[in-house]
Amino acid sequence: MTRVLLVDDEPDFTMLLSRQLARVTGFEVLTADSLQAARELSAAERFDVLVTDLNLADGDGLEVKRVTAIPCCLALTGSSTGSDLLRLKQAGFAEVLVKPVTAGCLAAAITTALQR
Amino acid sequence: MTPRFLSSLAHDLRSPLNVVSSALTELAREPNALPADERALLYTLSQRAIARLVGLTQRLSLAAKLQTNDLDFHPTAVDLGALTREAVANFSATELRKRVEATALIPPEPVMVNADANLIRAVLRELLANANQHARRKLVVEVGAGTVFVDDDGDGVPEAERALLFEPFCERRNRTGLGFGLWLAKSLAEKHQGTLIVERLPNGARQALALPLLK
Repeated sequence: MTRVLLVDDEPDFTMLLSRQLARVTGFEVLTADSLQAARELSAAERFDVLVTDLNLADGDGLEVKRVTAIPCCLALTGSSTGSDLLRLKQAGFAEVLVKPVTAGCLAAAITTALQR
Repeated sequence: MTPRFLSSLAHDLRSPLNVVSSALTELAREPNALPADERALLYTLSQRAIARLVGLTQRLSLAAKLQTNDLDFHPTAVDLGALTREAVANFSATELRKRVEATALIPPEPVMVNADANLIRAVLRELLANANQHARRKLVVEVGAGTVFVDDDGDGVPEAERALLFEPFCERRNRTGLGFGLWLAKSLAEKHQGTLIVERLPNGARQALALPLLK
């Protein structure tokens, strides 16, 4: 089963999106609300996909990508300019999604990213 | 207003709006397919998000009134212990991060101070939010004789940033939020002839609020 780590500092949004994503896809979705929590969770568990917010209290999405070392990474952002998108793609994010994002849209992006 | 403040304000508005937007999208798409408990959860999360937006507008209004010296201030005899108990319970139910545990050490007997209850609620909310942001696992709130200590087990405040802690809208590393919470809390404490300081602990930080006891 595909295992997803969803990292965002808004716990209600994370809860909502993780439940919807699990229901739509059948993926197992675990959540973390900080860089530190993501680091600890990824050290203890195996994940196939990282979906991370870019703006966390103790770090940013690029640091989450680096410390978790999960092979397939997608970024969530509140607002994004063209240069941000380019920077994130160059940093290795397969996809950058602008919030609010629906579970269906996220599921499609994950599926596409896993097929690359 | 700094770009950082505007960006943080946009973030703090957008986060609860994302929750409401996602919840309403889900409710509109599958009104009959969702089980009752799932629908109830979506309504609860939406209500909580809207409450946070209302809270944000109240904080902004308070900050504006403080800056223009136009604050409503109506002190009465209030129990600091009861206010703190209520604040910790409300915060734990709505904003506490899921890996953080909050403990309240509050004496059973009243701790009476002469204070504006609404303003002290605002102070306590800021202290809890600040500790919640920095805590790794633990947040401990302890009420004494006219004092409230709010301790977290985070990294503490770097020496270089201590002088800026109570400056509104200043830039600090790894800071999220609007950047005026501690300034707001300290200003409101001083309005009550009280004090607010932040101390380094061996494993974290302490925010110490002190208010004059009722004579």
